[in-house]
Amino acid sequence: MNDRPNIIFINTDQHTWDAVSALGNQYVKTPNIDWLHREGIAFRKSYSADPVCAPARASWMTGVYGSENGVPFNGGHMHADIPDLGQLLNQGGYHAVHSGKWHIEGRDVRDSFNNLYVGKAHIGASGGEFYDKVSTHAVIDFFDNYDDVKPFFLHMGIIDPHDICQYQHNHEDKVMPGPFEQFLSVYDELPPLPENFSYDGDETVLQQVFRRGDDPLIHPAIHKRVKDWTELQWRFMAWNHNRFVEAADDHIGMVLNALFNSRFSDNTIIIFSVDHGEANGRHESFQKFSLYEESIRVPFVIASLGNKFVIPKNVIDDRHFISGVDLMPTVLDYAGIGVPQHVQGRSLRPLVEQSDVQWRTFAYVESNYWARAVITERYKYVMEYRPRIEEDFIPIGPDQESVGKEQLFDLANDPMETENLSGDSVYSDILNDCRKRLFLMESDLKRRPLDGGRSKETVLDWSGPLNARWQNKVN
Amino acid sequence: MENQLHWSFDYTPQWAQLGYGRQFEKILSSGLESIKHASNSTIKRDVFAILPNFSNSWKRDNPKETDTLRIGTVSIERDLESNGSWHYHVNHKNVTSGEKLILDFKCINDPLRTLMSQWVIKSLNSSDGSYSSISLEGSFADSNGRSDIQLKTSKGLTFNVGSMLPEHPLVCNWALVDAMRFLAKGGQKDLSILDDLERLKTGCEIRFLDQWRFHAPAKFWDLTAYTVFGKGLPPSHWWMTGNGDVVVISTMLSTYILEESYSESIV
Repeated sequence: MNDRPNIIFINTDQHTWDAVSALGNQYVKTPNIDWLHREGIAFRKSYSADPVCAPARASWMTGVYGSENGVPFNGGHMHADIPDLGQLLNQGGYHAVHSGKWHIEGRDVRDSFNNLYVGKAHIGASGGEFYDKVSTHAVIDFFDNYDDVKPFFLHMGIIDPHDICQYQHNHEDKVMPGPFEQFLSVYDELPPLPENFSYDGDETVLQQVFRRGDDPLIHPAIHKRVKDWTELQWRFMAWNHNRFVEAADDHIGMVLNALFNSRFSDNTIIIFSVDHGEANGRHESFQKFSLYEESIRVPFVIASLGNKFVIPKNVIDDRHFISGVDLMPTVLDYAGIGVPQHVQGRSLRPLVEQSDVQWRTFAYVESNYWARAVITERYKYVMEYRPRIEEDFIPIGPDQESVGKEQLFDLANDPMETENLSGDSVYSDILNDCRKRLFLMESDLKRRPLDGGRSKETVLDWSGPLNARWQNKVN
Repeated sequence: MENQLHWSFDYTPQWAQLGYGRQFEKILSSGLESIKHASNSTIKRDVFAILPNFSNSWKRDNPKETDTLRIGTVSIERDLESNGSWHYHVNHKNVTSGEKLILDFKCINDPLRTLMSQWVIKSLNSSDGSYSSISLEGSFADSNGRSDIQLKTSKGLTFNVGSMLPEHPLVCNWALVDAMRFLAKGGQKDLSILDDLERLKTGCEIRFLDQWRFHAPAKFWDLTAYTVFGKGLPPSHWWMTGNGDVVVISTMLSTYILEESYSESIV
């Protein structure tokens, strides 16, 4: 039993997938995330299960999607009978510990993990400036003092670069000068405006109601300001995001260096990922929520600082689609603990060990309760279900026959997702194929009524304006 | 005269309604009044109150019943030792994170306050969780023509947190309260800052930001701000008096406001 590895899962938060210097991004320096890339395998077709904090994290911890675990949006409450990773590891002979951001309502991290640190005022969404350094201390102290014979699993939830949200909120109620009126002096210091800042605007109704127009449901005060932003202000936001990414990377560096010099160096597997991305101006947007690549695509690296495990060094896997739901079965596989049957995710261990294995042919992502995406080798299909008129609070699925607007992108010719092809009859077969894949996938989900917290109120708060918009479109 | 707070003091109307502006003005007036310029000071102490910038950084059950928004305090004490080095003692308490951070370090008596090898970091955690404290000793170690910055725990776990050329000056962020008056002149490029004595931030720059007149009940002060930023260091704004005293530091989540300043010359 004691030959089982220690496992560390480090995540950053709201980190654009390509804001990593190992991927050639010259506007950010992430030497420590790069170190993990050199010491392991990086999955490039890696997708968040649901690109918002709580749902993404609930899927990490349960191996199932938000429509199954009760957390399809921030504020959703995890169903009490669904086991989480901490519980299963502790039951399976591991010492499972947590430090930093948790952000899964309905499940107290202290009931599932041994709690190292969750803040004095418990960590909500943001606060990297306050909490990340203490969380790093807690982890180093753990390396210094852990002397149990049990192997450990350590989850370190780094908050940054999520503090970019505070940068955005900072614009809500006052006019902030642009970068040159502040302190930057030359254009070269700013990342360029994303290629897909301009796009066709042909989006789901949900995206329009939630994220566009004069009075969107999500962060309307920020929207009112960024509507008037200049190109330089968009680029300055990306510049700031990169500084927060680097701050997170510094914490990762301290942890890796301490681990490297500890007695756990050779016998520890490290997994690094991100809950969701940050738009950083892509599709003229900020933050997450959407099903565009900048929101749902995330880094996923499995590494080891030693050579004890069959983990290839400096390898990029750009073939296999992986999802946030794969974290739990992957950890349990390495820990030698059985994976519950209800789990949707799959262990990545065969992919890490480069075994010949049948793998999924597309990625599936949920978002904002009603929106879904399927990503195939070449195409990206985005759709929305129309909200029910009478809500029963069972996450919606293919049985509803209420598909709203769809988007289809040819990722080979249009990787930045600028042109919606769903209305082009040339692509009708592809569209049908994507729909079939989606419905087949969803027919396998065990969707259960939401309960607890403000789950039902949130659905009603959102479905009202969505239904009103659909009524207006019809009329 | 009413102050229009500068945009770099990141507050929202909610906090203004709760008295952010009033508390900011009260604390800063007190701090500015307390500044005494003893010639050739050998002992100095600055105490900064920390106000929050956003609701995320300030969590109380019922904020309207609270008459202070303060989320912590940082005191920076330093004295000039007989061997000519400045000995700094920083005590930084944050009630949101639950951390009390105590830093003990020495600097060369130069305008930059260049950090000297051998320092001590002590962190105490008052939040729940099994992590309660950590002590780290810091030092420089020569390695292949470079200078490694090392930390060592009380049980001997030693690890690097960065590396730099040995001739390259390094400054602790808290020593900037003394170095800013020098660094701000003409701007500063390629500075290395050891944030809280443990996170190396290279390629840092200091650039002029803005000027602002602060009106206290009896008089006004003209303040000048400089922005400090670098790799891994999101911008922070440092406001100084005409004499080079740092009186406000605004980061993304916090505003540090000088509450009390003391200096004395003991020969």
